[in-house]
Amino acid sequence: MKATSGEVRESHVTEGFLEDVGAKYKQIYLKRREQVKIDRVITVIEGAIGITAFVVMWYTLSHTIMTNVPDPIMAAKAAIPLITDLRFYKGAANSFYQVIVGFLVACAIGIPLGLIMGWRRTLYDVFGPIVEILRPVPPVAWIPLAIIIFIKLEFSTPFIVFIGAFFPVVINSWLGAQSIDLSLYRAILCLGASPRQVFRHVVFPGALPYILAGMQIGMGVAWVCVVAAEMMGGKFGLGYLTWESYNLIRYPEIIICMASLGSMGYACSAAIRALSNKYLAWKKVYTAR
Amino acid sequence: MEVTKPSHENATVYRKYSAFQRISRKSYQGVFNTSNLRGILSLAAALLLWQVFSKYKIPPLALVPTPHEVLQEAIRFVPTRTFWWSVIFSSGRIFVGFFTGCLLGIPLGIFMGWKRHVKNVAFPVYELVRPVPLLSWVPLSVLMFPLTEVSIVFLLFLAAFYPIVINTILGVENLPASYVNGALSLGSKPIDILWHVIIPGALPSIFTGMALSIGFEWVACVAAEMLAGGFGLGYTIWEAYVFSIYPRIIFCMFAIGLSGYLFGAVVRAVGSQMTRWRQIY
Amino acid sequence: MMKEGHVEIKDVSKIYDPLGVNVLALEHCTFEIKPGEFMAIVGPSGCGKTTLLNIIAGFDTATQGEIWVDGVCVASPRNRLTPGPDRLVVFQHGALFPWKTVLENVTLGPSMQGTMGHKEVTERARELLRVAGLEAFENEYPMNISSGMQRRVEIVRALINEPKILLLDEPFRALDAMTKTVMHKYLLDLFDLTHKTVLFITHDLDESIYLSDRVFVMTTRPGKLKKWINVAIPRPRDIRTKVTDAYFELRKEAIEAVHEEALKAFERGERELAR
Repeated sequence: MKATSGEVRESHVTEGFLEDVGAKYKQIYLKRREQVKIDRVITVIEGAIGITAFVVMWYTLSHTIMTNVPDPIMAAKAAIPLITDLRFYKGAANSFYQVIVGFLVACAIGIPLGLIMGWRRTLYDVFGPIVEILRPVPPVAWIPLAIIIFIKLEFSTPFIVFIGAFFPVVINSWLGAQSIDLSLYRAILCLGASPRQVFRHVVFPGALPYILAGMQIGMGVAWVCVVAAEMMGGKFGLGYLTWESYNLIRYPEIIICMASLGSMGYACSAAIRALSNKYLAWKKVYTAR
Repeated sequence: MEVTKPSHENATVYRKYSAFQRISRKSYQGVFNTSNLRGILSLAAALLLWQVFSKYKIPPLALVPTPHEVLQEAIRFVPTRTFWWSVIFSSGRIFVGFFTGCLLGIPLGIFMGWKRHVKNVAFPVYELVRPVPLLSWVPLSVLMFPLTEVSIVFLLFLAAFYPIVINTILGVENLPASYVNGALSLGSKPIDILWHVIIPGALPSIFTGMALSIGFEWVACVAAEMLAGGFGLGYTIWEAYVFSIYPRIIFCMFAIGLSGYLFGAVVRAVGSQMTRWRQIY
Repeated sequence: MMKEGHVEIKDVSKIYDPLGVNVLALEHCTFEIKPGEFMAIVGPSGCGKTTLLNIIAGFDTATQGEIWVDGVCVASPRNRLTPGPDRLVVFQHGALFPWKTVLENVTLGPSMQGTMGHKEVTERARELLRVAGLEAFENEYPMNISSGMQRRVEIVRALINEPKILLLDEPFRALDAMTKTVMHKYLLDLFDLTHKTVLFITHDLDESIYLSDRVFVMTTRPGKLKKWINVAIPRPRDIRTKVTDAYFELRKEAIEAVHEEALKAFERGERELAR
């Protein structure tokens, strides 16, 4: 058997061929860039269309079927006296304070607990059943019990917020610690690490994406709990103000209170998202664009 | 330390067991192992602590009833008609809210995940309305729907809507493009792609969303019932608090928790039956 | 000169007992790795070679038998598990910490144990990365560099700790064939430089003959050492070694044994352990 092989002859490239081809590709490339810009503008316009449609629908509904509901213009007008009302700001600050206290305590207890549960099977066996039994009970259902335990309402609201934020944070931290690849644990043990070093270098950074996701969920639940606790029997806070506006037949104020609650909740979640972007920069894979 | 797991099929057996021996060893070790033992011990320890703290009036559990009292109340309360009517009422509301949420949410989610333009129109509105906490909708929903029942169901609909839509969108978006391309190369029309590729492919995520939303439903239901009242388990808790029947509060808390868990388990079971093609290692 | 890294595996057996069914993974393995030797173990998937490596590294205990390193018994059924930097492992699917940069990954070992000061360890890391050709990537995260580069970083991370034995668990499995040839050359160069004792696990006979001094062929489960061949090809080796007559002779000796085991494993329907 004779082996046959040969070299491939270089193709004959005409003068100016490369320039022509280059020019054509440059045109296509520029057109594509334009298209991307147009796409972005269209996206923004579509969003604006959606929001306008929503406001229009709100306006028509409040004037036709649901006549009790204030329309967008009345709600906007009601915002003006509220901005100068000190009670409004006190209420907002109060709600915010309850949320922060409850949330931070929930994180301080929940994150270490969840991480340890995910890392060491023995501790999961011990704490797991208790967490799994208490988890399905809605935080709102804890309110009467919280009032019995804490007697004064001022302490029971942060407790409800704590209950609300605790379980998402624990469950997500646990999932995060479990999601770490086994080889990473083995690799760090190979490098001669003590358990504390394993925690610091592998368990905590590895679970961080899940921890931050759990914190976002917990933050959302925390705001729901604060409103629930305040409506149920509070004397301060935006949730209480919402209920009061309803009772005093100042309906447009309800919309304003809801909007402010929404924006504060959004700001808190955005803060956690900013943390994610900073500390999870290692997840970004650079793609050639 | 973890141990690598080998595949068990066709493995060389060192000691031969009969089938009966294998099954009995497996079930014995599945139930009576150290993990379960630790769990049972810790639960027993927690119960003991509760009993001691509430019996001897140690704060913070000074006014809390003991487990013994809760058990007695449970035995007394479960056979009554009030209890079962409240369970039925709550469950009924939840079913209605859940199904409305699914009916509206799943098609919308599929549409939004499939067509980018629909998502661009609808999503900003969504993100604007979402941060508003559910319960602050209560006065507004009472204004919107003069009937109390409908306003509560609207609240439950809202609670179910968000997880279902978000998970459906995720499910549709995360389908690999190769699935759709494969269907196109086999010559299918868009309606076929929708029915045979997109919907089955997104089904796991849809069921995840449904299980999540059932959980939120119970939370919203209890909250709405406590505020707006009438019937239902949440209202029963409030009533018990007003009339100072403290053991009933704790019993109802666990009843709600159990119901929430059972509903979620049912949804998850149905989901895994319908998506049996998923391999779970 | 390099007298350390003498490994003796004495009559090691491993039985798993997951819920009622006893599974024999390794059966009476006895062999010896001389100091400064590059040894390869070839076997089909699921034959127990990773189990053997886990036992040597200290992630797993043997049910019977002992492992001696430099005259000290490091693993026996009664000992506790002690993985450590004297027996370092490079893993199959890559175990670089994704949240640390390349430089942080490499300097982690010595700085955690406190054997070298911060400046010293950074200097040494930069030196080794320069040998690997990766000095421009020291501040990149592992997800942004190619898999070939990731493997090189892992090997550098292992070497900076001066281990007695280097255990490589199919490290080049996930790479494409062309990158593999470059990695082989890199490993050969490193071995010529440092002459550490290396245990290389693989399923590829060609790779094992090309790289090592001695090749063991392992049977399917239960894993037994079936046949060994002495690779007498002189070092330094390069890609032309693969077409010499000596190489073909060695392949002829071992290929039938390997193919027989592969057929047995296939008929047994062993599912791949690696996902």
